[in-house]
Amino acid sequence: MPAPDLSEYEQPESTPSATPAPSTRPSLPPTPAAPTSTTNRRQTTGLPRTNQRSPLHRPLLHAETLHIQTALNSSGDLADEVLRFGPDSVSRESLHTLKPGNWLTDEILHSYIGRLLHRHSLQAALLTTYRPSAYFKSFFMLTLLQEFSPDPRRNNIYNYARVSRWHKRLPNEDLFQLQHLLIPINVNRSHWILTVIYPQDLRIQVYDPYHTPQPGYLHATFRFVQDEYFRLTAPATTQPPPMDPPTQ
Amino acid sequence: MSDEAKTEGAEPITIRVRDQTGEETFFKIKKSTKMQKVFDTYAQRKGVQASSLRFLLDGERIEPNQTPKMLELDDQDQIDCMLEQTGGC
Repeated sequence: MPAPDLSEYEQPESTPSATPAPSTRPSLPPTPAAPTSTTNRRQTTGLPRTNQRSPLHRPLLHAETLHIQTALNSSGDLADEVLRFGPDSVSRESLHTLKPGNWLTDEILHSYIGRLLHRHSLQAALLTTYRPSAYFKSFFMLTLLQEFSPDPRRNNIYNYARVSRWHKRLPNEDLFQLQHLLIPINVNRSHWILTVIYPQDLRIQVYDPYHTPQPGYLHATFRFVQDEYFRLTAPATTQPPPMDPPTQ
Repeated sequence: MSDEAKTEGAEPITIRVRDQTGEETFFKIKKSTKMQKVFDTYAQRKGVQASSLRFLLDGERIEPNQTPKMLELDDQDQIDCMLEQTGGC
């Protein structure tokens, strides 16, 4: 199994980081004149691997730690919007779930995934093979399956019609032009997993830290991909035949 | 035409709010009214905190200061209302 494509995020950012820390980034040591040890065998650029890490993978500055502590401990109306990134807002109540020992809310997940994809777009936009990536809100699966229907006969039944307009939020409104479509899923109101559709590889993958088999979600995702394909390839609605055909 | 343009925004439309059990609630709202009003009324009626609800249109979250006009909502259009989700790893 190839490594998830998300490893692209390990690449250094090409744009200036939001956090002003150029001086703390590891400065490049002189390139080894003659790599002799075997540890250098995998290096292709001549730079030690430690310097290829993202500037985000560094210890936080004291000022940044203070900033985070202040935000996490801020008091005020829990419903206040304290963070916004594109269409994703985070309330103070949600932000507080980042403290140790708390369950994360959907707002935290969406905001984080939104940032990941934004960073990915900045880094990958220069590639000739670049394709946009997108994500669905974590409410996708429960909408698709009607997980909370009070009627057991209608509960957990796949129904494409309920999400048939979600493609309007995708770039070009076309799933199959994407690099990734990320779908976070809340399992049993207690656990987060991530399903990723890789349309270019014709692959769907479920990432679950517990490695619990999720055949239902995998199958529903597969059917959704099929239904999106049928929607896109459906013949355009034909003109109705003339009501008054010519007569002899 | 000019009369139409003048009254646009004043003419109320009906919005259907579908919750995650499939139940629908109807709201009559002017096209120029902020959705915040729908959110607050809905939360009050359901007896929950408005901050624990997520209102979605075609999968994207609706912001409280948006209006039906901004969202291009028409009469009888439907939005979804979901309960906040939490989870650990």
